[in-house]
Amino acid sequence: MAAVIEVEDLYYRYRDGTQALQGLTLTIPTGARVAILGPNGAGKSTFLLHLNGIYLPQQGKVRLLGRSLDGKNARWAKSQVGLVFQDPDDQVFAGTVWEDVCFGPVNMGLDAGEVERRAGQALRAVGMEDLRTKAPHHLSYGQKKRVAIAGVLAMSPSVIVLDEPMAYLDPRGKDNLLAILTRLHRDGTTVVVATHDVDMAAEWAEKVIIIKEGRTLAEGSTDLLTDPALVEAAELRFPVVTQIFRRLGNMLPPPHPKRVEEAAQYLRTLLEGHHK
Amino acid sequence: MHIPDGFLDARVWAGAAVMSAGAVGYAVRRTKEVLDDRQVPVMGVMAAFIFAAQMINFPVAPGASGHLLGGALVAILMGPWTATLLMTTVYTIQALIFQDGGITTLGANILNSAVIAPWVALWGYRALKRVTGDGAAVFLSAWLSLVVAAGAAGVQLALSGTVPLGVVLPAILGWHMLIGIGEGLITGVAVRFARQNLPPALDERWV
Amino acid sequence: MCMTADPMVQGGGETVLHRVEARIKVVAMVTFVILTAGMSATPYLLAALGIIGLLAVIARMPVRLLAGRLALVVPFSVLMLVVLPFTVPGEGVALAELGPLALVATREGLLQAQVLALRLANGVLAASILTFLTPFPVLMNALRGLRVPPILVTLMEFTVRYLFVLADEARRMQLSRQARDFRPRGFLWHSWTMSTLAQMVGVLFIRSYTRADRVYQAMLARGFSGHQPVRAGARVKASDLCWGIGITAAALTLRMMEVGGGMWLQLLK
Ligand SMILES: Nc1ncnc2c1ncn2[C@@H]1O[C@H](COP(=O)(O)OP(=O)(O)O)[C@@H](O)[C@H]1O
Ligand SMILES: [Mg+2]
Repeated sequence: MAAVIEVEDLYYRYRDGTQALQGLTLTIPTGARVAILGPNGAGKSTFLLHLNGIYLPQQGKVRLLGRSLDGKNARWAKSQVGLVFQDPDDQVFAGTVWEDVCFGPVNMGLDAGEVERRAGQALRAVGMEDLRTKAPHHLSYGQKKRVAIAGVLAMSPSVIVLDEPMAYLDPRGKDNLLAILTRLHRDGTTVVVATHDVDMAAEWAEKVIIIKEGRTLAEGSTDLLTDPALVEAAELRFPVVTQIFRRLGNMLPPPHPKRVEEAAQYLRTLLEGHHK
Repeated sequence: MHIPDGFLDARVWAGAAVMSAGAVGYAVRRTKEVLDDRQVPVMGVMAAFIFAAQMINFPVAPGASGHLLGGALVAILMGPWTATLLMTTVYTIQALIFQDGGITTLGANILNSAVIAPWVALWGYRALKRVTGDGAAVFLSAWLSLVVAAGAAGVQLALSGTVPLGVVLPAILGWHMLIGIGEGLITGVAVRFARQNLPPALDERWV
Repeated sequence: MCMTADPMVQGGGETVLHRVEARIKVVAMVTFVILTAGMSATPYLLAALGIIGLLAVIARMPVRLLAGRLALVVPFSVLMLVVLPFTVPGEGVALAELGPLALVATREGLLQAQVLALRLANGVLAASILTFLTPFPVLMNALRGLRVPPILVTLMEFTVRYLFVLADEARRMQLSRQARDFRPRGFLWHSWTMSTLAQMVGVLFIRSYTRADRVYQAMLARGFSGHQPVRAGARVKASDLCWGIGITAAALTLRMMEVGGGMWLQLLK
């Protein structure tokens, strides 16, 4: 699979001296569902801001669709990579839902008809078309989150990146969001999620990238999430499903399942064997 | 100090409106030159901060409480022109949406609280800093800015023939000399706190 | 902020008055306030209040809302209205004895208080009808259309948007202080109370400032470059103009009659 984003030896240091990224290297394959995992302060948010040219590499490279990002192509990067911030109140700023969703397309210089078409489509994609005249401060947290996503979708990016998308959502809100992400992915968008929610990563991702202290610890399939040494080093924990199987110790041989469906399958096989 | 409609004579409110329009117009141009337009979102959020800070009440005397006005705070931390724009925004919204302060008197209210108060605070602060040290200068200039702005409102009311000067001035000055202590104390602590916690961000961007 | 006119945001509303083009409403109501703020004859001020009442009825504005608006401004004015009768020089009509203090209320003072109260009511009610008739985003766009500097309008839009977020934050801080049994005590010189409140303001400043930075970054992420294209306003229809002229003319007539009435009285003397 070709890579849509390649990061090589990226460094970033904040003005107060915090070295947030120190040699980050990773690859995001085209059309994949990628989870970037790491404890608080690992540098996930700092890294995401590099993906559409808000922060430029102080050292190292970020390549988007083969082009190395710099001050000159930062605008183009914004139309290719849509960034959904953690707190929708940071992102949804306009007086009404509709105006907010129009904001990106207008900045892209599209004509009025196209802006409207895209805004309408984006609102439909997140199921918010009925609330388009609402003021953001009258919306629930989950609704604001969906507006934030629509505001990015309206720019038709080829990659959509979400920072801690599940934080503060209620269970239904989480399901809604997962459904939206699944649909986006099915329609060909590369979806990248930064999170410390290992259960979500285990359920949803195709590829996980584990980072800590601004460096990549590991990249690979979700099997990484059940690797004890890695989980310990990354200050994460096992997915709940895996924890259950590990508790049973030697009774059940690894590899242990990490997704609910995998676990069900595992148990089914086990029980069928038992009854025979 | 929100003068309502009908309390000022046409000549007074029109005169004040012309003066504050000049000052605000100049602040808009300055802001475009010094900061770029892109700082507008940051300023908008900070104007909302002033609103929120004005919701925090402090006790003044039995049965009476006051709240921060914030003109001195933003003037000292973010510069007088930014302060003028932020306070203008706050007072305009209060008049238009919350009917706090009149529409005809908006110019006078802006003149007092968005032009006079921040500038008195800034000049006071600069003049006093060398004499009294930083902390006391912030306290005194915030106190002074409130008293002078209130005095201006009193003069406008008297000029309009609404209340005799001899009645309004002692009352309005007396009260604001008292709540000015609250403004001064809160501004003093908040300025120190903000400078300790946000030094690079604050110093680089705002003049 | 958005170039495209969204029909559902523009002037949607239930009554005839809601549908009047926003710029016309702003100009008409502001003119109305300017004219009534200058009146000083009670009958004409009452007539102006009558016009306001009529507009409120046509707009189907709930009485509760109108009363609420008035109640908000009362505290400031009551103070003046109580003080005035005793401080404006003139012919004494009533005596209030407060222990050794004797206060004389004058006819001029009472009249002055009454006139101010009526002007105040006119101003507040006219402004609240305007906000009732015009949703905030539409009002802001009307101000843009009326050549208010765009930077100020944008500032107001941001302020109202984040007002709720930051006020919530302030409220949460207050609640969490209360949960640990903090309540404002003593007066200005109660240093524990004042320093706690000041700390809260300081923290709120920092949080607002960092929030502002994140908002700004999120806008950059969607290609913000500092320019916000103006959205086209709705077209002004003849019926809109009629309403605007009607309201303005009614107030103007009252004002002229008041001025004229005064001249007639002088001629008669
Ligand atoms: N604006 C900033 N100024 C200074 N340091 C920052 C700033 N933002 C983040 N940091 C620091 O950079 C490091 C990485 O933070 P961040 O990218 O937010 O991590 P994550 O999103 O993984 O929790 C942390 O140590 C954090 O304190
Ligand atoms: Mg983060």
